[in-house]
Amino acid sequence: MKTYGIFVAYSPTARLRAEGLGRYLAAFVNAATHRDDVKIVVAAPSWSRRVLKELFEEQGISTARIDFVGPRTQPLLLRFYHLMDRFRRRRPRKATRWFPKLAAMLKAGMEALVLGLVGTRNPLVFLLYALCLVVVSPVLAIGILLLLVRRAFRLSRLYRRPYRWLIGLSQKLLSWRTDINRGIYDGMLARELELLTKIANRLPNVVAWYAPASTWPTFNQIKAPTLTAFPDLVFLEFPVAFSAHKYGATRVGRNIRKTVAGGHYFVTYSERIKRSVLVHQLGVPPERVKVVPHAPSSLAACVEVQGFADNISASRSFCLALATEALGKLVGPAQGQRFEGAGFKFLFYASQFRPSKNVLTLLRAYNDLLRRRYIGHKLVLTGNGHYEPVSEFIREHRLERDVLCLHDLSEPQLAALYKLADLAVNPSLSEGGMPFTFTEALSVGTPVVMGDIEVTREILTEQPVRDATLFDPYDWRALADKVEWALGNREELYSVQREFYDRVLAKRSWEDVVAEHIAILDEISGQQHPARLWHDRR
Amino acid sequence: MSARPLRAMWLLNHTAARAFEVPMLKRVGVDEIFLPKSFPQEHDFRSASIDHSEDANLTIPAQDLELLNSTDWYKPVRRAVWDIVNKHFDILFFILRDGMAVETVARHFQGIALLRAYGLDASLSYSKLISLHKKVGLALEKRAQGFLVAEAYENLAKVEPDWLARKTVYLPLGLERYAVEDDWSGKDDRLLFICPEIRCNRYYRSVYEKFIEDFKGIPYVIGGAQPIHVNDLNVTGFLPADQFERNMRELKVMFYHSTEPRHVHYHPFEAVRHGMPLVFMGGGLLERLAGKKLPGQANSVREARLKIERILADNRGLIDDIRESQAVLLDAMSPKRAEPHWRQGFKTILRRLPQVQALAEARAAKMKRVAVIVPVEYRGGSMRGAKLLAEALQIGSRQCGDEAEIVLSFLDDDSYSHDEFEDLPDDIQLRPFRWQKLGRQQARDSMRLAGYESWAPDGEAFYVPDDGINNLLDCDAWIIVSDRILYPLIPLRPTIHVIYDYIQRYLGFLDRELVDRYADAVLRAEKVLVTTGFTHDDVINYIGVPRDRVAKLPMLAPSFSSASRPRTKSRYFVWSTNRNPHKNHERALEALSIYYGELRGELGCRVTGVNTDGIFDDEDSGIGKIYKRDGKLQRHVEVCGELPSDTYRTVLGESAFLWHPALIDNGTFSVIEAASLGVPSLSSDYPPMREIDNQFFLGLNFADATNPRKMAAALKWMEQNLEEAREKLPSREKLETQSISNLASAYWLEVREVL
Repeated sequence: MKTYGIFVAYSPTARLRAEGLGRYLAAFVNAATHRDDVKIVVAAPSWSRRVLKELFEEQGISTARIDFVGPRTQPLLLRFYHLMDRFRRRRPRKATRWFPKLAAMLKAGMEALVLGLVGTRNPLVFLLYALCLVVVSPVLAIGILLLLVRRAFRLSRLYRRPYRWLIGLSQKLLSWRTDINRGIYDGMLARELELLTKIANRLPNVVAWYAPASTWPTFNQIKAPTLTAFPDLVFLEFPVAFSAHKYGATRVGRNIRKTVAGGHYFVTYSERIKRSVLVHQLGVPPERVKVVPHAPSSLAACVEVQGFADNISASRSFCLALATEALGKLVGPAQGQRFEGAGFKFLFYASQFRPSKNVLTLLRAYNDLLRRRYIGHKLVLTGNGHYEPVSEFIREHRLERDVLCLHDLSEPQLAALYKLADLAVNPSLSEGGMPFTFTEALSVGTPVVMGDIEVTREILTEQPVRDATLFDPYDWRALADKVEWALGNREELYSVQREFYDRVLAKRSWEDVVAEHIAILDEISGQQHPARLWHDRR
Repeated sequence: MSARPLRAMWLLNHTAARAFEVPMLKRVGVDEIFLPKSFPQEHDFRSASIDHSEDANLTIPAQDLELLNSTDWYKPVRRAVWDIVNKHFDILFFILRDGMAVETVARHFQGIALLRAYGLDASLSYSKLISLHKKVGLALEKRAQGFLVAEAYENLAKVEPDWLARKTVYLPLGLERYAVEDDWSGKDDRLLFICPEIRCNRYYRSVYEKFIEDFKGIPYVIGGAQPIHVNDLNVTGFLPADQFERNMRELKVMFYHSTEPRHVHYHPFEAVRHGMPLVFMGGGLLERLAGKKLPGQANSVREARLKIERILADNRGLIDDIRESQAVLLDAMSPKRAEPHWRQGFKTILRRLPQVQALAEARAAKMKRVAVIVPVEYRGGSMRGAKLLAEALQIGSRQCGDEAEIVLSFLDDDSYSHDEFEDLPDDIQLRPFRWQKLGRQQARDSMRLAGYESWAPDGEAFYVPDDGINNLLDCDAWIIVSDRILYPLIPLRPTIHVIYDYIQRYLGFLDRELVDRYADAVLRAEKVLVTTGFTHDDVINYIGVPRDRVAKLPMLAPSFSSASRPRTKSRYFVWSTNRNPHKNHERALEALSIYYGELRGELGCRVTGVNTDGIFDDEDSGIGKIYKRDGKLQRHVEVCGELPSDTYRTVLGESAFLWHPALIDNGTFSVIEAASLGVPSLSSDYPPMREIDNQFFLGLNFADATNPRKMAAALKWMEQNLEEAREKLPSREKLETQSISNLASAYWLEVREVL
């Protein structure tokens, strides 16, 4: 048995469940744990351990076969942040809870006193009630005064005038807050990864290490041979869109280049990324780059119900329950809308919102499908509905009730939406490998149409399935045409795709992916370390 | 009480409960029992099976039994089936599974309906479940004495509000096989824990995770159906009966986790029946049933674990103590213990039954009155639709033997002329009204006064129609024409919305707030009626109304008297329109420009319709600019404005064809009227017009409404091929098949479902 390490360094806010990288990692680990000749060690920051365990458990992976190593406790600052975050989320509820209760209690008390006073015939009792009122009234008076002060405090601007300079200063500090936060976070991450690397280097039984991302230059400090996954470098192709500060592309790009510069071996999911990015753009010798395509990602196990006379109906009802639950995760323009369950027809695009994902083209096509071609399906997306280009389009075209953004879905919810959709769509312009959409949708019985990009053609190698599936992702009308055709020929489309999936794609499994990675790790573990790309430049 | 045998419908499929309750019902005097022959194929509908054996005892006509057997009792059941049920059955047991199904029970069953309550976990109550389906609560409360909650355990009512608690009758749950069979060997040294639905139920997921944490290191087997496969070798999933029984006989000990005060599962009793030692957590219903602390009870996980470890280590002293003492749990579930309570409960039920049935029969016999409410100032086609609806309901109710009174209610302002309603039959009442807005408190008070305690306001304001008499409460149902209600209707009456279209979905002219308000109104209705498949899909896909609440009915059209077409050559066609944006004026004018220009069109165009006077006069508007710049349009296009009906028919009857270039709506009657006059039509091609074409056999000609050039070409085609277009028109007999009298009963039958 050989021991291999997986090095992960996701940030505390990384939404592993919501993103493909989480599902990919889980599929990889799942396959690895089924091998008897392989032991896996996962080196992860302290904040990731619980999240990873939950991700694996949600996927049905037994974590008994995995060793987690890394700092045991989280940095104090992060713990403090989580505490404040929990407190902040709780506070508004507490504030609104106690005030009405107190007011109701005082009101009830006064009513009882007054009733007692006006109803009694006993002079002594009368005096007692009167005395109570006298005692209670000042308290009440203070309470009312406080209420008035609170209201005045909110409404009056007068008190603020002398302190405008203070307000201005605090606003400036707030505007720097993002940068200050980033600086603090980077420092915390760097320290955490140093510790992580030290721990990893103290594991001589780990013959080689694998990192599923190329954004962690610290990975190169591991002394054992390293294999770094290089999914893509999407901002090379979308430099203007990703230059916006919120993406942090400059920083991430710098990290990627550092990782590549100091790395040993690399693995990509497609020939295209190997050739056009790693080799041509970043100058990595081709023999140091291996290509290991994905295996199909199947969601069937999440939603296929068994044990009933009619498992199909039972699965569907289960999916409806999950989808209805998912409606509670509406974000963005559609938030606050009311639906009685998820029994409507819809098109589905499961992806986060980023410039390369081409969501605007899909929205334009959808608007045309709905308003000119009268195709009355909703469009369900899984990105964050507050993403400005998307939310702006939805509002401008008054599509709030038709385009639903359901964010941070669990895998069963995602599977349910795939299954219930009439059609899955993926208009993405750039990916590291063929998008999972194809296999995820087909695995639960839903056909799919996709943008005609090179990485997809690497996998959809036969013309009939290409003709049925692909559209020009730069042309919203072509997308609309394809969707309209697909909805009108759903059975035929599914049949062509499913046949290809069963005959060609399903033959490849995550066990194969892991085996190929293991083979690479084996190969590199037995070799001398090659010189780093740029002569150990730090 | 009726002279027929006492019959009950037991609309559940739970195997173990049925085994106890059917014999018990017979003991207390129920002669015949109906059991459902299907159950939902849903992941959480466990422990269910079908039993046909009681059919042999039912002395109802075979065809009635066949109808009942083929009915899905977990879905809404139509009134026609309830009419059969009411002929034969006095008592009905149901569960809260599908809200709409329960509504139909509440509305149409004339006997005593009992909600069978087997208990819930501490976070829930039956009133909370009912409140998830507001209409269910209202429908059940309306039954008054005819609704009871049959609680299986005595303490269930304690957490319910007064309005539900006082409807309780205690019919304890038990076990038909309650003797200890003692076939336990315990030769398998593992702990048995039952935890179903681990991957599809959050509650059981957390129970599972706690169990594997608390009992780490102890060998165990986890039983229970797993609709979604669990990747844990210790989880067996669903087992056939014989394997399940074997586990009960051979596994060393069972642990029961629940501390719920108002719910208990069956499996601990099954363990006790086999003689398997049961270690259970105290504080729950089991402890209450035991009456004292049994040796098998643990008050902490630590204590439970210790006891289990001792049992697995074959501590005979503890094992025997537990086995001997736990039989008291089965005694608590014996039929002998339960029977006196059932007898007492049935005394209550049977005492109420005659009055309930008499009241229900009286209600059913009472003449119904239904209000058709026009919520905004509709005129033209929309008001015509409302009047047709009122007429259809009146005719349809008579055709179905129900003879209802119809009230047409419209806004009390100056929108309507005195002759607006002259074409309505005299016995349709006219009642003007205004919308009265009620705040939360007043809405709640109104509902309380009307006898509805379960209802809580979920908005800041509510609408109620104010007719100056009694808020249209003399009517049994309110039918709202369209969805244009700014505030939710107070649910004092069942509500139906008739939706003709959702143009706003396709033209995007309504802002979000209005879209939400109108959608909310429709989502609160008992039923939605539509007249096209297109709008049917919009109601389900756009608004999200559940399919079971939507009914598609054939479109109603006025009866247009036929006329034979004059043989003179027409010099014009008619463009019937109004000022709404979906009428596509700009493209239509551009098409006319091309028609008169490039294509040298020879026919004039006469524009008519509601509010069309001066429609092109505003030179700042888009259509005004197009009209002004093209002299040919000014020469050939004549704006006739809104014409009196007779004049319009004359103008239409002498035209070459009718032109309908609108973008999207629910279709227009004008093409039907044209066909009745022998005039063909050219229409934009959108789904509702295709449906009208199919329903009325109109032989319409179609054009793409988004392309002025294609529209112009179609105009030219019509000009040159009029004879061909006329030949496609339907005969008078064919049009007659779609008259109101032929379609009316379908409308009444749908409305009747909510009465």
